[in-house]
Amino acid sequence: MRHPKSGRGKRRGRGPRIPAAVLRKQQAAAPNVDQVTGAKIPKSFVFSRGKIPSTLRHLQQDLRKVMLPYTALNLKEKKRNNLKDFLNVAGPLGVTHFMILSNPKSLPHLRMAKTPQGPTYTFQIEEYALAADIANSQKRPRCPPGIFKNSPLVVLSGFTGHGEPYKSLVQYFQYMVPAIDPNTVKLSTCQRVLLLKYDKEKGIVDFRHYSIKLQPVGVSRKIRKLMQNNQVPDLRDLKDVSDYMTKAGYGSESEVDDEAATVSLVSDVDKLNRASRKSAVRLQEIGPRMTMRLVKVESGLCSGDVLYPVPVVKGEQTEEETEGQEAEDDESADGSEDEPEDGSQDDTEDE
Amino acid sequence: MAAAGPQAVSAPPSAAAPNSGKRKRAAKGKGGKSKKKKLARSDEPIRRRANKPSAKFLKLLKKRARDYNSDDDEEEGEEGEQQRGQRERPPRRRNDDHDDDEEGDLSGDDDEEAASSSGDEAGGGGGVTRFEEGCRAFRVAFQKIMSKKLPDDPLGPILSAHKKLVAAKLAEEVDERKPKSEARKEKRAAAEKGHVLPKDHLETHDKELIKIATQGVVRLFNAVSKAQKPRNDLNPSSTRDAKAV
Repeated sequence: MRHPKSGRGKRRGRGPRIPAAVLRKQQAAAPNVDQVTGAKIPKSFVFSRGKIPSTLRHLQQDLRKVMLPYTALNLKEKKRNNLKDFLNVAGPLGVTHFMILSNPKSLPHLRMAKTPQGPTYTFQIEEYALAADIANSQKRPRCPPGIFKNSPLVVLSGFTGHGEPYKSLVQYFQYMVPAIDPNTVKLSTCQRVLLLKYDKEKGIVDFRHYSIKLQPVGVSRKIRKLMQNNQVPDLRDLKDVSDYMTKAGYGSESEVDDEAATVSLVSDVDKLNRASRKSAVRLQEIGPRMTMRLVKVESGLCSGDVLYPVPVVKGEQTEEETEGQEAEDDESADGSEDEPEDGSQDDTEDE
Repeated sequence: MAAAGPQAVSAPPSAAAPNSGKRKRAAKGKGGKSKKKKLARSDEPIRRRANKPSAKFLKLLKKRARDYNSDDDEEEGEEGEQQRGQRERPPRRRNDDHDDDEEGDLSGDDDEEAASSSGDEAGGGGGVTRFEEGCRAFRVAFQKIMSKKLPDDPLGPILSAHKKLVAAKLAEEVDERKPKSEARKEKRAAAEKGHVLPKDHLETHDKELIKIATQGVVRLFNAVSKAQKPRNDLNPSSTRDAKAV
């Protein structure tokens, strides 16, 4: 789809063609500065370098959906676009993060980088599953399109206590999505979760994407269905309405888990989940599933010094030490635990 | 009488065809059934070399062609003998030129009388049937091919020389197909490397992950409720609380 203004001659190799319609929408829907916190909203580009097979193209599209709404969903890239072109476009658009898929030596890799000169983290994707595969494997896949209107919550786990480079990685992930202010955020806007869990023994990072569903606790299934469907139930075989209510139904096994996941809602999320009532948080997996391994960290954007794996220089022990120190100094220490790292404000709340 | 006519008439068409073709046909004709054919064929090259027949002779031929009636074959057989006598002379003249023609002629002479009856049809046709003789030859050859019992060849009825070519091509194709399909399979496998299809039910590992994510969300919601809840308790009307709000 090309807007008549952005004709063929206009770009002159200045980078990926972003149709003007998309540009306008982006700027309208995703202002550069967050209204509430005043901080810059991080935006991302997800694209690929080199030739990648069609399954990886689907994965790229799934990753774009994960990063919605602050990403270019229909980003068009041409073969002749270099990284420099993307950089040039990223500046005026306020794009801060790049996610680059590539397939060197038939091994899928994902590079996460911060523009313009930020560090680059290269992961090798050992296993992945597409969003479509996951939907096929579920009995009742749930992915209403409305959940992509807001950024996902990022949950990090297992990254603490391992020093570099994982400390900086934590920071990177934290700032990949706009910060959430607990004072003002509306619970209805928190509809997705992005989980990144680090497994020290295997050295892999699990990437999962879920959708959040709140279910009122203490409400029998029948009543809940009644509220949801808005249809009059079939009372042919019953003698009394009370029979309908008290009829023994099967308890679902997940109700046990709900007890641990109960929250007390502050405001009305929707018709069923009213304020100051208890609701259970139920997650259902959507979106791609990945198992990644960190293989390289560079200080520049796909260039610069290699910070990880620590380069081993024989007989030059002192150099190693100084290098290690430099790397630590570069990254600012930021304590992270098993908790949602959604914004710096969160830390204050926990005190 | 009619025999001479057809002979002459056939001269122009035979002159038109290339010499070598006639020779080949003559060679084929040697295996042919009718010896009369041989005679006729052997006559043809000579015929071509013959000088243009005289006008008087042509007139005679035309007359014969007009009067020709296939029902009169028997009669023509007698006349044919006479004509054969006539025909012999020109061949004898050309004897030195071509050996095979000689042989043909000699054998033709010997068998002439014996074959005259069998060759009557051809003889009766004479010059006119020269063309038909050609047709007849084709007919005979065609019938021979059709009556042949074909070997049960999966390749189908193919001329023998071509058979080898086709067989070689098919073999080549089969050989090519194997490495090609393997290469394609490898390529596809390499493209799918790492792509794992999720199972129907959740594995324990996945259940753990969901639990962790749920815990995270719960913590956030609790934090939010803690942050936002006191607001509700406050009374917006009172000035002291208004500041907090």
